[in-house]
Amino acid sequence: MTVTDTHTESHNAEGVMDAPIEGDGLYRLVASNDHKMVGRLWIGASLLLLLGLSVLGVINDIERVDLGSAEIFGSVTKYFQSWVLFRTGAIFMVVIPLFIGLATVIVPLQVGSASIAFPRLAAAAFWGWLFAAAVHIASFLADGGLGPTVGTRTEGTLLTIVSLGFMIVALLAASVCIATTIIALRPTGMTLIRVPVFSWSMLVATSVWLFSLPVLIANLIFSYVDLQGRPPIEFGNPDELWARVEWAWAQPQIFAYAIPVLGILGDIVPVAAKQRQANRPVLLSFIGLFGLLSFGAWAQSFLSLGADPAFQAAADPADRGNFLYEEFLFIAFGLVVFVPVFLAIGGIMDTIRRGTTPRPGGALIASVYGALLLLGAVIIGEIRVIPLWDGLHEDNVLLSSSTAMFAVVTTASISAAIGGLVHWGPKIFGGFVKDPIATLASLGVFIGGILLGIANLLSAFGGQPDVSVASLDSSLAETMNVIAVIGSVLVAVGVVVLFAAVIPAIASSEQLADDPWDGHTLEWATTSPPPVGNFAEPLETVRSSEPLLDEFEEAN
Amino acid sequence: MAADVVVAAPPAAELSRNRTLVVGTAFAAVASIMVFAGLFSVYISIRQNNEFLVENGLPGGTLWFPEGAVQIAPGTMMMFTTWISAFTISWAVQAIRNDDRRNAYAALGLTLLMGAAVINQMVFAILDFGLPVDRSVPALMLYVIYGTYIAFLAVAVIFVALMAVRAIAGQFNSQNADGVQAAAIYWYATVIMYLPVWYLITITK
Repeated sequence: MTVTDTHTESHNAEGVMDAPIEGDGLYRLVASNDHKMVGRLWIGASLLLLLGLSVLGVINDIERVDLGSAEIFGSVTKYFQSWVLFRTGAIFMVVIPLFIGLATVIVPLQVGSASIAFPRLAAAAFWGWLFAAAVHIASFLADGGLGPTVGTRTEGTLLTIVSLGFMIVALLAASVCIATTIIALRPTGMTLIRVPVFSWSMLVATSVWLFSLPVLIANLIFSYVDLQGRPPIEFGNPDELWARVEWAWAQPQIFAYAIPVLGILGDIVPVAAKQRQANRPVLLSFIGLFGLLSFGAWAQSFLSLGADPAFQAAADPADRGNFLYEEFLFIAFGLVVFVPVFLAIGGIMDTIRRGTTPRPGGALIASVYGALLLLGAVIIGEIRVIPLWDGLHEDNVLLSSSTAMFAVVTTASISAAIGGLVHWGPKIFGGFVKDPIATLASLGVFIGGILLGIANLLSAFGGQPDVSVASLDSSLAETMNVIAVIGSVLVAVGVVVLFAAVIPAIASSEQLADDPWDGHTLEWATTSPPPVGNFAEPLETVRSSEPLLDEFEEAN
Repeated sequence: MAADVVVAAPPAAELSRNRTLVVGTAFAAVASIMVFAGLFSVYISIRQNNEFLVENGLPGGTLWFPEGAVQIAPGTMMMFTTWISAFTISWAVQAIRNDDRRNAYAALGLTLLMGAAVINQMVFAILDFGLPVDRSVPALMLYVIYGTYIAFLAVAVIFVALMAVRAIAGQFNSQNADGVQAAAIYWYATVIMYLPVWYLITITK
């Protein structure tokens, strides 16, 4: 009975899935639920959106140079719309989709599965996300956005809210597929502690997203209902729309989007150094702790007792102070998060010291850049929270310096993703991503990220608000804004160069070796690119976290 | 090789099933609960602020719900109904595991009936509030929370209904009760979601 009932998502007696649906041409593109095809679609779409958003980032930063006017956009409202689109786009159209794309291709291979869990849901998630992303961009063209009061249309704003919500739902659906694959589709012997580091980081990341992003959906539901057919009374108030959701782009939640950076580094470095990762369970624990500390749904400013404007206006100043005790938690999280990130990166980099001096390939360089930027973002977080002890929160510094953190986390993620694309290029595209060109691309993103981080942090301390293009008498801020433009241009150039590195890999018809890097984990035990069903033969029982390295050592 | 094993029909006990539906549904249930946690975190924080303002006679505080707007009886009845449905869905899972199809059909049918009853009663409660949605912030939040709960419960009802149809078609048995178990997990999530609705809205108003 059970055997005859086996269908696409179930397993036969050897734990190998039935072959996913395959086809030719456009049909194959649209109707395929092969996880490798779906993953390539995620990666391709998010890279194209990255290209567009990089240009938008440059334009936004140029607008900030002349603080006295809004010459490009014509008004502060239009600038703010573009500013919001850049933020929603960077996280929900680029960073998360890029990691989901990598994971959709690589995670099933790493855990020795013939497919991703719920392959049809994974495909539906991609197409749903793509449609929602298109509507989201269109909503801004229709004068939507998330505030402010003047110049936005309610219908456009509703479209922005709905499309953002649907994008998040689609990303969460894809997250369920990835997390379920890691939990439920591992072969015999692969305990969770033996899961490759990238897969582990994706399990942590998708779990944190599944816990935190639904809270953002709840915020959006309140705003949507409040805007329905009548003047808003609270949540849909255009002055508050962004403020209600900005926690998802701020500390500590912003770190949640960059968790896979550690996983990519953790898989690339041991292979490059030809050395086992020491203290692997400890490393996995640090990644888990980083995920725990990056859960940021609790840090909504509106959840803080005393944040209500009526309360602020009416209460005694002494009372106001008493109700800001929640900031202790914010400061503590901000300080402690440095520990797991620093120790995880340190532990991984120690593998290089112990192993063979690696050839500085594009994958290694880009992933190290990504890790260093992530460390930089955490340090910016320290710089942001430490002054809170002295009550500096009443200044605008905390809010405005979130731009620096956002920029560095985003570039860290892009840089690490470049490393992942180079490393797993043979499995994703069936060809090598051009190593020197990819190195150049990651260098552009890395230096751009550093400049953006430093410039935005110093301009924030120079008194520049996060959003406003209003006149400000600060030569420091103006100088830093020019440096930020240079940083944005470097990132955009890096992204353009990345296309020059990736396109040859897609077009390649070269016959590749199964394991060109002498990899350690199961994705290298199959052909490049992998066949339908991923593995030609059933896998043997896994006995360690580096089964291919075991095999190599036994043979030699 | 794999096909040979399938044709050979190995003993059921040796079959390796990876329970993807159960695990995936558990993740989805957690995400759904977190939507509710998000709604109630905002509700509680605004209410806490309001109570402080009212207690200290400060401007800005408002009467939370008008007297009689939220009735105890329908809300409490819904709470009991959801709890009973938690037992009936557990009964369905156990019956399927024991290959007791008659009890499984009865339990699934009762669960669906109770789900429909809660939705019906919740719609009645919404119509009975007598509050315009834009009357106040509490009224707005009341409608959002009830509406969102109805949406999640509707998803759970559809999920159980689909699994009931599959069970009637003979797809589940003592070796594979995953579908019903997954539906039960999501159902439990909706039962958990109703607890704060009942306590924070029906009881403490």
